[in-house]
Amino acid sequence: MKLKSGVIITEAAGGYVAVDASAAAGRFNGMIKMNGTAAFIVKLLSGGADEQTLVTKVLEKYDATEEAAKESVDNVLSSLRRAGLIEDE
Amino acid sequence: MNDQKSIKELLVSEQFVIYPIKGTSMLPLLDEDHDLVRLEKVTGELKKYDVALFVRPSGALVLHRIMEVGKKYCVFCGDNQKTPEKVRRDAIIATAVGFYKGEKYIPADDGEYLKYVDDICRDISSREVIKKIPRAWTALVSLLGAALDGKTATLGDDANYEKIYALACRHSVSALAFRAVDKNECPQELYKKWSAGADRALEKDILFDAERAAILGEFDREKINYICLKGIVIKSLYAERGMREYADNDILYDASRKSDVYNIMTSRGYDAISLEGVHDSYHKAPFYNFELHKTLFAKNTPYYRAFEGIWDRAEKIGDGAEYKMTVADFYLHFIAHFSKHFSGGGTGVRYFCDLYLIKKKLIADADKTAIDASLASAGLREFEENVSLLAEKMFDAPDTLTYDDLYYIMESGTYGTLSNRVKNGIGKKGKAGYFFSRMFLPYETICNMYPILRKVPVLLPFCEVARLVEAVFKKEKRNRAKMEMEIMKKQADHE
Repeated sequence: MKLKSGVIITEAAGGYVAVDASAAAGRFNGMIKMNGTAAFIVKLLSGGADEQTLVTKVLEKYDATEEAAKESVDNVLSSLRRAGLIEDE
Repeated sequence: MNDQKSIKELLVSEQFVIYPIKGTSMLPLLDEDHDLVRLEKVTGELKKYDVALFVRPSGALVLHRIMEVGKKYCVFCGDNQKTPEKVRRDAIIATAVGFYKGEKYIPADDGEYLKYVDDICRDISSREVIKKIPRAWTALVSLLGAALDGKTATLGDDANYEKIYALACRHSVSALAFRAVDKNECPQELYKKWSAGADRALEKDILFDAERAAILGEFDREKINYICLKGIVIKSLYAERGMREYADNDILYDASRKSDVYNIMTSRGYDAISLEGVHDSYHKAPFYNFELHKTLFAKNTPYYRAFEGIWDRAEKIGDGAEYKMTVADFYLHFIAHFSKHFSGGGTGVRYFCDLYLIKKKLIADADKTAIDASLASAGLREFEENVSLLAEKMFDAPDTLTYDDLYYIMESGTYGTLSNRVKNGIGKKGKAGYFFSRMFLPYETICNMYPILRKVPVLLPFCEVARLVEAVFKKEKRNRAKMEMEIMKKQADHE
């Protein structure tokens, strides 16, 4: 599992957004708006982190239970999958 | 119920239709904000001074008063107009049998009403036309003023958000206006649509930034000097990304590197749309447009000389090949460009939003003496003062705006209109001068259309003929020429 190449993560709209630049050759792909935690997860993912590493890093950065951290990671990954921004290997 | 077909269909099964008033042409009788008209199918004879609904060849429905009844045609005129219009009788759909003025119903045979008709129709040439500012105009200005100030605007229960949204789109300011829309006041469906449009503007802005960074990265590597222009600089003055919509990325580059730029652009998948004239135009689907300027104004235009030596005055940024114009040059370029469009096809409200922010954020602390001197030498001082005053009125004192302040701007839309271009052209050159200038374009312009002329100038007469042939046989050019002729004729009739 990795973030599709060409996905731009940037600050905008009072938070963060992920935009697929590679898909723009044909149409608007739909942008994902994210809060700070989600952006943190997506940035780690773009650096090549796997699912377990994402949970560990969220636990290190935020005061959260393992269950809550895992739920956050799952939610972010689901949103990215729905938008076609993740490539499963 | 607001199109020709549905009204005609309704009148087949229904005895009457209640129709909302649009526009100001039937003032003072009918006001678009409050009044309605009761329409019935045309059954008997049409009479002089009846109010009737007809359809124009463009498909637009119009409710005006009949001034003359002929066998094949009737002559119409709105109560708030001075110019009559000839209409084929078969284009007349319905006649008005009464009017709803708020709660009150006034039948078309009411004594007071008939007295009004006598008065209003006595001498249409001496009528004082009422210039009422349409609500959508002031509402859009309120939204934009609030958005520029980071606030929300409450427009009132009777605000017609559909109209405001359409106007905002026409002026390419819907993403900005959306920032000030009150979610509780705007109809939910429209709010969603408007929000999605604002998201698309943001997405486009992010994609433009990424693409431009990649292209300019190549310019840096190849040491092709460049200066970012217009929207891509101005957008940074807005409070949030995606607020300032723009269609093109304008960049000035070292014209001696044209072929290197061509190689960079085409290797990135761009089509070269035009490589002649002031700028090279490149396009890549779905929306990537780059206008890469070799010079800021053409040699045969008034502002060319003001920008000679621009590279010498520009400041180098970072270690790459980017340069930045001085504030005085940037402002002069903005105003010169503004003036060129304003006196051509017209400019919309977005220019005024830009000007307002440039004055507040970019030149508030700049050297006014240098700015004033450059504006004065380009002959733009008076224009700059006038548009600056209007921008201040719009966003700092909107209650002081008049119909005349807003009419030209609101009718122009983002890119101006052909009608304005023709009228302004006639205003500057006279009818004959304008016609001549359209028939015989400057040599430089023809060279841009037919680049072979630069190598073989003797082909000029053939190129002139080719242009006329194209105007006859190419549908797009033929339609434009036809429209231009119609506008000229109307202008002549009006005078």
